[in-house]
Amino acid sequence: MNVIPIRSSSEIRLTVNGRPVTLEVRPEALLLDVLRDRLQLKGARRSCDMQVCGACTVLVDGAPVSACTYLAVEADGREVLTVEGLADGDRLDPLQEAFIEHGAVQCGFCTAGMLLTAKALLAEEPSPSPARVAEYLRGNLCRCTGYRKILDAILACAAPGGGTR
Amino acid sequence: MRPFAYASPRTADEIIALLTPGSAGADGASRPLAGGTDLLTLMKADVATPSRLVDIKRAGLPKGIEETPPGLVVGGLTTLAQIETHPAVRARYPALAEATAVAATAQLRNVATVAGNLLQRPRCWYFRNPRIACWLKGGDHCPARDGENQLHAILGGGPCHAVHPSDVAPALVALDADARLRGPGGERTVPVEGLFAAPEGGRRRETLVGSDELLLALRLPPADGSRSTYLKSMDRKVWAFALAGVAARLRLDGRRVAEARIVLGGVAPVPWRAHEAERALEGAEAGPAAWDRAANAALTGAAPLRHNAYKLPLARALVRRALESLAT
Amino acid sequence: MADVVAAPEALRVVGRAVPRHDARDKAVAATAYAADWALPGMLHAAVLRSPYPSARIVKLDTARAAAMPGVAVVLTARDVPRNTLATDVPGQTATVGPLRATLHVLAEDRVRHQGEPVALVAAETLELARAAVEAIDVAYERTPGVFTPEAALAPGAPQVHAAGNLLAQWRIARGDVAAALAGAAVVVEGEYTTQLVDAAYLEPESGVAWIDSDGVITIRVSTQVIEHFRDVAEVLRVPQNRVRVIGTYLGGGFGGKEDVTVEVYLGLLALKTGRPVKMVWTRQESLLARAKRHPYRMRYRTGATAAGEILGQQIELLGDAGAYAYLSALVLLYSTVTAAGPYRVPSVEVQARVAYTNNPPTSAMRGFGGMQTVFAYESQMDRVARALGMDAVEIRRINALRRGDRLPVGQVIETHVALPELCERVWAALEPPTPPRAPHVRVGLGLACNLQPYGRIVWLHDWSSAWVGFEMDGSLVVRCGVPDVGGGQASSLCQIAAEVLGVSLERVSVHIADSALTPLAGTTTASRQLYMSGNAVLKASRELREQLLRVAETMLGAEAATLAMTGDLVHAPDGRTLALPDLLRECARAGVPRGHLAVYNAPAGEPVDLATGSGKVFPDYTYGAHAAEVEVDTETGVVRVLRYAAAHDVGRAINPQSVEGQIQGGAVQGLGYGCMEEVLVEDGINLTTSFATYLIPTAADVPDVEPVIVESGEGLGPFNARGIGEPPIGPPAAAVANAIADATGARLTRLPITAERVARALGRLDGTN
Repeated sequence: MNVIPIRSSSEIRLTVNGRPVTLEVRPEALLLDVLRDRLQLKGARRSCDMQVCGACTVLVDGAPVSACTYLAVEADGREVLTVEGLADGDRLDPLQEAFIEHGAVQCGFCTAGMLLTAKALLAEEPSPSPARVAEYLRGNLCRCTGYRKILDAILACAAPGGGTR
Repeated sequence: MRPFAYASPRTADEIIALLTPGSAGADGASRPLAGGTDLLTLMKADVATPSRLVDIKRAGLPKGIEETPPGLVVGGLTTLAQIETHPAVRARYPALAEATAVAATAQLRNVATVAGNLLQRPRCWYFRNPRIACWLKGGDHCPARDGENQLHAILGGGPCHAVHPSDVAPALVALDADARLRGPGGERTVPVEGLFAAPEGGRRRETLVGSDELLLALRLPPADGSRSTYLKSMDRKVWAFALAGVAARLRLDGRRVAEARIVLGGVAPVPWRAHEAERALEGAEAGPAAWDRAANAALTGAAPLRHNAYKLPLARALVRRALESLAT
Repeated sequence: MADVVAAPEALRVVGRAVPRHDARDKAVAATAYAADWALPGMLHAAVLRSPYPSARIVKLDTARAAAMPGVAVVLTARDVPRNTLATDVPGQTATVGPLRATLHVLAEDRVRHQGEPVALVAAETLELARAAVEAIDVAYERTPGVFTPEAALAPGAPQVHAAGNLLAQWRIARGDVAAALAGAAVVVEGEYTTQLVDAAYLEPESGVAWIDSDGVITIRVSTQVIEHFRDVAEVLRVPQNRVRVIGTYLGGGFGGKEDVTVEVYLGLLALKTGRPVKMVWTRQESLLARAKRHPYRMRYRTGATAAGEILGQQIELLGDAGAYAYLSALVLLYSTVTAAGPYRVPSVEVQARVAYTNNPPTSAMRGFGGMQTVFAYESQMDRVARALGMDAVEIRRINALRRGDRLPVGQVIETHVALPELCERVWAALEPPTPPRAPHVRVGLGLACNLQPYGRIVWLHDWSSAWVGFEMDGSLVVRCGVPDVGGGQASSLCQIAAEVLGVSLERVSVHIADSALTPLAGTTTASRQLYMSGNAVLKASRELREQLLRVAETMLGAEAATLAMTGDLVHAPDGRTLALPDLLRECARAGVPRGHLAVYNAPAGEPVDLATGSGKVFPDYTYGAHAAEVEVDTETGVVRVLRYAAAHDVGRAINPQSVEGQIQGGAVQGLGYGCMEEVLVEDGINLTTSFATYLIPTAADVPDVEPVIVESGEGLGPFNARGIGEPPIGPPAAAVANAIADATGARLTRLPITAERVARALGRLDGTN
């Protein structure tokens, strides 16, 4: 049997918002801390710190995950999208525009996670029903808005056909 | 999180060697890492303190769903999201699709594996609090027995009264799924039901899977004309305990029940196979009278604690409604 | 009241649902919250907290921790220049005596609640700081505690503080209640219990402190109260002008960031180390140690005539303050004043007490004592109506306060009370009823109203100040020390200034929440910022406008009173216009200031004698009515809120989008309070220290909340607005309880209304044990 290397730190290569990144990380390093402290991407936020609230949501290979409970080593070889990667220069993602327009942003602490979860949903299902949007967002807590304006903003970006509320 | 070492072996044998106490390279405090959704949370809370995590995702272990007509094989590393959306699961094993759909959140379902879901630890607030030496963590009594036990077991409780939190486990038990395990001594196959046993004596775990065993895959037998469903009631629609859940499977022969499985979740330290309810159903004529008998029989032996008697009417109603929905 | 009332149609910016200026920054993650800040050479701080609810500290040795490499400093109570944070509570009753609410910065010889701070560490990394906390050698000797207010007030109870366990009490006695109840056609009795809940904002307590190049201790922190710079200075024993608090845009506050959180610790550590320091609480720390909403037990006896007119009400309130006073006495005062609801009740007796226990401390939270009482008085109202066979709207219409009526405390209601209209609007919004979807399901409707003060207690002599001024290019700057908790506090000020000065909204920028550089505006609490700082900005803008138009008068040769400012221009009656840069250049030449500072003073008064009901406590109140349609699964006790409507008279909606957001968000928080939230504490030990056990509503749990905005044009705020921050959280629990009673006849008197409690109330648990 080969000797298995037991590592106390590893080099990982990943793509963050379309740009390749190479980093040396310790095993216990969480993706959230690497994004916030090493890459200065502060959009993913620490709140519950146990993958319940969604404030740290980023997309890994297109799927929403909670960066607070995701080891950075596990992101090796993957594509990570954070809220900072949503806009194309000054041109905002339609979801960002809709959140602003619909009053879906209050304190804003949940906003980045909401946007990314919504992005993944609409990529998966372009015209979800209102109930489906609410169900898909259940891993993203908001304490300010009561959710209605967030749902309205997302539904405004959905392709027609998902039914009305 | 506290520092730990990390290994990412390329073969199952290497993984098992690292997990086996006494073997070369093992340190007795290694834990396998799949999705990590439960383990990392326990580590953050200081309830689990492994010295090393062994990543099991880069060793070519079964992942994904393989159609093996007329059955189905689900790799242990398959994510809940993959199961939830798989057409064959949705068409033939609705109980499993429904159980994965109501489990947790999109963020968790994308990462959590089915093997990890079956082997997750209880979400009991005494167990998850590192400062409370509950029985399951090696203490001498279960504080839930006379404490805040609204979310705890009404069946099969003691010495630990925590409930098994998995939604997927009752569904797999109801579907008569088998589990293929691999350990230092080779492979073995057991019914999923046989993976679980209420903790007792020196075994302060809810599972009979060895700490050096890998849950490789789950095999679902042919659906064979039976229908299934999973119903759940919870306080809130995310990461909450199932206050109660029921996985039910029925095969009807005309108006007669030819075969029945009733498995309750959230009410016992293990997925609770309600044998008496199944016996009450088998051979009976489908209809409200049979459903009522089964619903009552399902809770045979229930011993609610101070704050959780509400789970009885809740579980009964879920059983009745599950059966109703399967027969119409 | 504001001096000029513009007709709504004449307004250009105020009253429009404009997206907020801060929304874009937040949507692209450009907003730097308190925890996003970092400085070179910054240390990281961690807190050692008591694991026990009641214990003596018998050993506290920090030597080993302090000697660890990378540890900059370890502090205990001995190292704090003045180890006491104190607030005076004027107007407290003679029984309790003059109250000075005190709190130790770090525990001295004993700890009184689980999570109480005992020592502080600053180190090069967070990991090192946490390791050093674990290395502190501390030993406790557990002492008996008290865990309910009833136990705390029983003879012989262990004393949480030397002065006794009764922290505060208020009493109102108006009219002859005994006679009123004796003469009533119907008397309804009820006992209601509310639970401990957490603000549960998504952003944990956080901040960074450093000593600036001028030697000022500067603390950039997530707070609702930048005026805590004074408290920090007291604790550090430095002059108040040597401490500066910069408030960040908050990731939610809801009252939980009204008391001091991290800023005192940060100030201490920056002072002791001379280095920048960051402190961010974990969610567990936040849930463990942060002050929460008071649990109450409330006993009500309500008497009414056969026609439904309320004659008298006898009320007893008992609250749990937890281990320290914080704002408990004032929270209890709010409860006392609102105890009879928005109704005319000729005879009222209120006995309100709040006691120390060894539970987590309780203090401000959205609704501030006006919250618990709604559940009781609106349940009582419903019971009276049912006893008399009356309609829910009708009984409220009959009893609703009207202008000129007096509250039990003696305060005369000076503004319009739109209660009947609010009730009718929400009732109509839920038409037609939803048919039950299965035989075991019952559907019911419930109504609940409330009143909530906006603005601070009049004897606190509240004021706010703001500066409004032009830059030479005609762009406008507003400076105001208001913290923005996410409710649109800052952007509403921009709208007001833009309205008065005729500037397009995009050309207004606002600087907020800096105790050194922005005029002080007071706390973002008590639903007061739009009212207070809105008035300050309105006043500054109007006075600046007059100042500028006096110059324009000469330039345009038309009387100032005939000039208009709109579209970034000054307009003369004959159609000529003057560009702002030209006007501003002329002001510069003539020595006329292009900016103006104004102070708005709220109506002030002296402390009232509550017992005799001697007068005014609050400037004014906001009224609301909510209606819920629920379905009850009669087999399981599971309740689902199907539809919900919430109406408030906001006087005037400065930004209807923000008003809707407050109503929808407040109602959903209130539904969380009513149906699922509870901090579960067992003998002082908190079992719900994560968001996996402390459950707040998700998108999938809540109904669409239909906001109904009523604009009576009567309020004390700018353009006659009323405060709307707190009011919408009040009625939901009662609305749901009343709807359940409508559906099933079962009366739920304990929060939260869980499936267990409903099943019990429906008799479903009989025989299961």
